[in-house]
Amino acid sequence: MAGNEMFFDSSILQNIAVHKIHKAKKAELCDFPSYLNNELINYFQQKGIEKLYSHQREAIDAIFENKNAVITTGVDSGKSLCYQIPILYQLQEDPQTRAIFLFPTKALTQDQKIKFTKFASEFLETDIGIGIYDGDTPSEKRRIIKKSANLLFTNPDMLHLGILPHHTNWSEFFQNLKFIVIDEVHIYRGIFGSHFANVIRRLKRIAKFYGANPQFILTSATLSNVEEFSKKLIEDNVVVINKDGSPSGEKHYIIYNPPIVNKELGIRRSAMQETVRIAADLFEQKGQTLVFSDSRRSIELILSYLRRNVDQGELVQGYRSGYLPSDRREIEKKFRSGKIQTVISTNALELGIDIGGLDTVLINGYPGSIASTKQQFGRAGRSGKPSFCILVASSNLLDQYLVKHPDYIFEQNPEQAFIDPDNPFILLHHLKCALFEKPFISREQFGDLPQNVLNQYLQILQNYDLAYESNDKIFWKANSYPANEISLRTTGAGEFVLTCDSKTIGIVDENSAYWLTHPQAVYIHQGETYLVTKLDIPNKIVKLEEQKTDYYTQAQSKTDFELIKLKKSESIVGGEKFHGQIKVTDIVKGFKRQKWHTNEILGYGDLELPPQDTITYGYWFSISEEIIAKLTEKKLWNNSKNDYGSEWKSITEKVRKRDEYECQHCGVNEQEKAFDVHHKIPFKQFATAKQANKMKNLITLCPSCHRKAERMFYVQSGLAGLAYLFRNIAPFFIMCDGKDIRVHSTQRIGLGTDGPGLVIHDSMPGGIGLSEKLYEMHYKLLWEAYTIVNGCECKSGCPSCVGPVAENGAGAKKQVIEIIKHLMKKNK
Amino acid sequence: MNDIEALLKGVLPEKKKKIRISKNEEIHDLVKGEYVTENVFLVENKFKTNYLHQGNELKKYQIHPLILKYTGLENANIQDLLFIDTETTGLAGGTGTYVFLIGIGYFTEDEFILKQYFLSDIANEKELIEQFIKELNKEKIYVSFNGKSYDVPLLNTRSILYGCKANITAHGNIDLLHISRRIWRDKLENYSLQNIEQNILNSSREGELDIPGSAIPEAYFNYLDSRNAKVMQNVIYHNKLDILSLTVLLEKINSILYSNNFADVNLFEIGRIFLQNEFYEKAISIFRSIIECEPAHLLAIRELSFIHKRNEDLIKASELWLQAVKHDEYYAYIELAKWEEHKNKNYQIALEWTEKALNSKYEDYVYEGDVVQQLKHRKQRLEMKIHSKSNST
Repeated sequence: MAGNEMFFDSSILQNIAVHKIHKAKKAELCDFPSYLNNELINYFQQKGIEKLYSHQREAIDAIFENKNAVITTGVDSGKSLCYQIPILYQLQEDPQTRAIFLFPTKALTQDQKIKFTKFASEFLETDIGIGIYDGDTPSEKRRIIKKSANLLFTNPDMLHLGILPHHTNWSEFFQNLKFIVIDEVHIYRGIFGSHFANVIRRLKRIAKFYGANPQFILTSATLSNVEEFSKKLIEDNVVVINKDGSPSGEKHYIIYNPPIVNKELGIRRSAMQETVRIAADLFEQKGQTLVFSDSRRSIELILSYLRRNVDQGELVQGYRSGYLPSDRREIEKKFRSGKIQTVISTNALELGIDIGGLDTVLINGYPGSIASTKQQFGRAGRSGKPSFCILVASSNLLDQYLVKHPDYIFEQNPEQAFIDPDNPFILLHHLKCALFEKPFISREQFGDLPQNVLNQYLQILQNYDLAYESNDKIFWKANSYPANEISLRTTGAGEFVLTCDSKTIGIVDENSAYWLTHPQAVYIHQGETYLVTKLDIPNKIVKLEEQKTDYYTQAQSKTDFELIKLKKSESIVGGEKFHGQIKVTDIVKGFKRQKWHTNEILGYGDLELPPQDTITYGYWFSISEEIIAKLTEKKLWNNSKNDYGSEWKSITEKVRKRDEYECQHCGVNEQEKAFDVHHKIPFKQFATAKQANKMKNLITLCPSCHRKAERMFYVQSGLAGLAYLFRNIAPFFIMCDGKDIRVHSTQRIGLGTDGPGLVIHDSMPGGIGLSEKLYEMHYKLLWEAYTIVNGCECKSGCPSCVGPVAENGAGAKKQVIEIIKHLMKKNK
Repeated sequence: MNDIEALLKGVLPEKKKKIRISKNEEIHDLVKGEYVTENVFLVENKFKTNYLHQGNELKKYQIHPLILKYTGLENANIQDLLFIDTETTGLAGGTGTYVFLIGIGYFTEDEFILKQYFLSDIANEKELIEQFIKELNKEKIYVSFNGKSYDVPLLNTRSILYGCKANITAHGNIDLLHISRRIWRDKLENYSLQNIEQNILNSSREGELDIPGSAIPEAYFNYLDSRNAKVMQNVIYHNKLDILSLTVLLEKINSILYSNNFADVNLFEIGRIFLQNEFYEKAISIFRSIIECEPAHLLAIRELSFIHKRNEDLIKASELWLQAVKHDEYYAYIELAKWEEHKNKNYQIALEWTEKALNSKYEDYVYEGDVVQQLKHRKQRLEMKIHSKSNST
């Protein structure tokens, strides 16, 4: 295409892996509907909005017909106008009108509040109250907002914690509640979304109590199941508006893949450095560029590298939370007016804030979801001019996957969002909150929860003395405030507080605390390294000490599974797959210290921590004995001879003597031929023979057990590689957070099947239905895993496919390919 | 136990062992009173105004104007007061806390009437709230202990919840917790009503009949389960003592405010209460008496000097400032400098005070950054004035 050369020099051009062009598109315009009064139409026309885009008209029509609507058109397609017009109209008709707005970020909340304030002051004759009610709202302001806000900007957490349990303070507000606007609704998925759906149930219940029946207006990034998802979230019908009538200029979508610098290890040049190089190039050409990167730290790094590389460093600015709000407003303003040329931002600028259209959006590494990528790309584009959207791929698996499957970003939309409002743990908590808010009248509903299920829960609450029944009503019966017991963003387990010098520096949820902050662990927080001095389990406190270390720690845990109830099973190629309720028991048994960068193992430590049980749902599949035998036959592993060092012989004698010449696995005694000495952790994973040959790592085994151990290890390394793949791709296909599921590879599953295989389960106690979705997708997941490994350019495994060699063994790549083949091949 | 229950066991509380009480004793079996509605039981007591409550007399008195001003109702008299105290199912706040006992007390011509409305089932809380609202038919001023932030908002929440059309929060409130905290600041370890009773009113409760406040929510839940009102008898007793103590406590505070004999109180705080409510004469006499006993009471000197300044009695004020600068009180330098500059036009002396203020080596004051700035300005201005004065002569 023309102009391409103009933009990039050849050293950049040669690494462009994907280049797609979306043609410019004209606006599809409609008149303002005639049922709006002329004043309102004139007002917007004076603002330069002569006509509406077709989707805006469609949305406004639906809203005027009292339908719930979800608007899922592109970024910058004027979605907010869809609700601004009906709400302004309603406020003019009835100044008592109240509306709630839920925005995902504080910046967006501010932005929308300012807009409405302007509309109201210019257009409405009566004064209306507009207030932001969140954790930062000072208490004297809170009182005023409760009394007088027509338009309330808040967030789900605040609704849950502060507003609903105190709804009587908002009685007037709820009596007149007409609209609930939820912006960027796609972010409410997985555990967070399942909580949120229950907050909505509570909100609707309280609104109903005050005689209100508010209408929902949602906006969303494109999802393939937007209707199903929205319906499940608000438990009502919803009209989907997805035909985008807004214009767009020509758009170039580019995926840039940094060149491989170490083929053996599959290491590519750092995405960050390449991002800086491209950004500098763009800067010289005077284009306006927005660079996205994921962490605060990387923002600062890119900013400093880039400033060093360009002439006028002051034209490059960073943008992230943690900057002063006034500074951020300033940057937004200057960027909008073109006074700043390049801004490097976290996803803080991804959503809705008006910074105008840009020439180029440059993303440093896949941001973790397609929706996010699209939102970020959506920032590029101004009418009549081509714009560029560039994703700089990192070595991560999903980045490399997208290089090979760019259609996921540019064409179809595979992403689906799932929630399960009826997860028992989530539901129980919210029923407690709902009961606290207002007694349950007999036959009263809670969202779409079946009556008999609701009754069952209420009965449980009574059994445990948390509820009291009298006069056909059920009352909260405890001296506590249940909303405080749970945060919407966690699994519901408790949280540990991280303290350093008796100051709180952060929190970690209970499930992760044992893993990440066990005694003597090196914990990394905002780029600083800390040493854990104490894990105080009863008081849920982690004591840290700031310390620079040249190593990191990795917990070694053992996970056991126990079958509670099998729900489904089916034979698959090469084995069998299962779905059911399981108990997962994690015990963190020890940890290893590994050197930064080289990953060399410096030592081990033992830990005695209590086991943690989680009852949840899982999907697991086992590989048949037959396949294992075939895999072993093929000797797929890297079988080169190790040099065990000159002292090997004397060491083996010491070990055998220590073990009393007895096989430590089957107990057989050594006869004529000396038994083997086996490395528990494979020799190859150590930097030196001396470290590998420590007594602790050695064990006496008879030849037969030794073969089994080796075989198991290699199969295990293949399975570990497969687990690595599943862990990375599964969240992508079911649009959940990486931490919402867990994937284990195991020698012996023990959940009604003794074979080796993978166990994938919901991390939320009680599950939110993710593992069942994955169970249904078994072959798809395998196929996608297969294409990733097969297409990867590394030699024997890398972070872009089966995981780093150091983690999963050198043979993993071939092993994984072979395992998948056996699990996909048709039996002839 | 069903499946869900088994699954959720880990997050549910321990199942309590139900206390089985064979005897079904309702409140009317134990306490004298009458049902005003099906489930609201009224216990009414009348006390002659010379009744001795734990050694303190229940008597009528003239309410000190300071208290009335503090409450914003200057024309009220003692018969307009409504002493209130509620017993509830918890301190958590929000709509899940129920009120089950509302005690109110008021003076008539010659009696103190104490009415306690007890709710025998949560399901009828609305009737309880309606009874309370009926008692509010006149212009009343609440007298409560922490009622401003607890009892009254809670009653209001309940009233809204049941759709009652009454504005419970629209009445004045003499919150004795707030006042006690100031009058006895630094004199008490804590400001619970019981601690005040013990240490200020010299009274103590009869142990076996009372119940600690923290045990009340659980006791009520137990009563609902067991229908045995034995412990509720204690709660009613507890509530009655609370209200009677409120009347005695208000009387005590009232007499302290009237008296000139202030023992065991934080006199400085009392002075400030008078000052804040614009009772200047009284405030002056209190601060003076503090300084008489303790000539170096710097806070009192400061407050008193500013009252004099406000009354434009700068001679008296400056005497105090001269006292204060002996203790290197920063503000006093500045006030003296102002006085010398603007009133006495004595620029040289004003300059000296200003310089002394700037040299004051007390680091405590360094944070007042703009004060230092202002002082530097003042210094410059004074130097200019001195300069032009010497030029013109």
